[in-house]
Amino acid sequence: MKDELFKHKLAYFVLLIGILIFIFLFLGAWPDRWIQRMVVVGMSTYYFLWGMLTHFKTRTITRSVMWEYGMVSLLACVLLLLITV
Amino acid sequence: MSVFAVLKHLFHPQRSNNHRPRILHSRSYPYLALIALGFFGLLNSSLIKFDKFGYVLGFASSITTSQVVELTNAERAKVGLLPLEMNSKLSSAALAKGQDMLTDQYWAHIAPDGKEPWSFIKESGYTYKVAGENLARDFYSTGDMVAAWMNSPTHKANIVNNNYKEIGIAVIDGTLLGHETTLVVQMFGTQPTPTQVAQVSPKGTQVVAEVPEAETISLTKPEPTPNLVQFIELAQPTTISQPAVLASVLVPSGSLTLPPLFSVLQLTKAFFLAMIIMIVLTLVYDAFVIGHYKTARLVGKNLAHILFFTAVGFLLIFFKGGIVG
Repeated sequence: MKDELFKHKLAYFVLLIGILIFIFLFLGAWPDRWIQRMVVVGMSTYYFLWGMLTHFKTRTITRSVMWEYGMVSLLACVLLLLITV
Repeated sequence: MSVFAVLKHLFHPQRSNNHRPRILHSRSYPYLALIALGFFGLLNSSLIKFDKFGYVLGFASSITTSQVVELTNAERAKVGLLPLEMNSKLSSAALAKGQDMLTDQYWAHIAPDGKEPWSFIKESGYTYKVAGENLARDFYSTGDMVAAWMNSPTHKANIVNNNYKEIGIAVIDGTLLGHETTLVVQMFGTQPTPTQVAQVSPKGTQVVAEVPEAETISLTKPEPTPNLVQFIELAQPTTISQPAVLASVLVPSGSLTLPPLFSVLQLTKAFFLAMIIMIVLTLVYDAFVIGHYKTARLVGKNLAHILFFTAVGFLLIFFKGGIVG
């Protein structure tokens, strides 16, 4: 995992910054649940696109990889949307 | 297949699961989402009766009217405004509004039958030149609730409005839209001063409100038709600073017990968090095993998934409940 991190420092830095921004937006939007839901959808989409882009750049993108990122994003989205109901 | 073999198939990378724990396969995530949906649906459905679970599942808040007034005045003091005084008539109006919401099962400033907050204020006998209303539900503490109001521009505008002189609060426990909750109704008002009342002609023309229409927010309304009758009511002595109206729900003798251990939100968060922890630990274990055996795979990045799910777990932990209206 350490090798992977150092090999793709920039990609992980972008991911970390994006996630931190979405965390800040989600907590800052309280108590407006509609905005929180928008942030959740935004964060899930961002993660999916990040996965596609990084795998595309390393030429390791396949249908199963796309599905994996899509399903991970979907699960996260469902969990966070449910608590804001 | 033994239980151990099933667990190994689910959590350990091996030939049977194509060297990736089954729980981390892309086809497993929708099942996990369905389990989460099922759990949430079950908890929030009418299949679960709160009274059957006794003291385990329910909703309990520590909100008190005195704390609401104290914290509201603290927020006003921060911007140099005078504190609001508790008015028993406004509290009665707030209580009537809260009871109406619980009886008719709605969550809005205007009732389904079109009844506006000002009607409750008038019915309580409070004469106002300007009035406003804030609502809140599902909060566990007064501090969180007032913080949520202050985070919402329209509610904040009511709290730090210099035109209000008095406040009325009702904190009501009950079941709203299928959820056990604590409902808080905060009403603001200012009674016409004698000078303004003197402007009322014997013929009963309108008093000019001190607050221009443009300055009032949607939840604030100047008194449309004050008249001589209202002046007479105003002239009568009124009780000010009456202690809180606490609850509208009568607690039967002997049933006053400890608050429930978990609320629906807490239980939901705990369940979802357990799912996240299970996935993250499996991802860490998978990365360790695959790194150790140097197996080549074309899958998503475990480190990225760990980061993402950790963020989701963080949001689950720090998500605060409560709705303002």
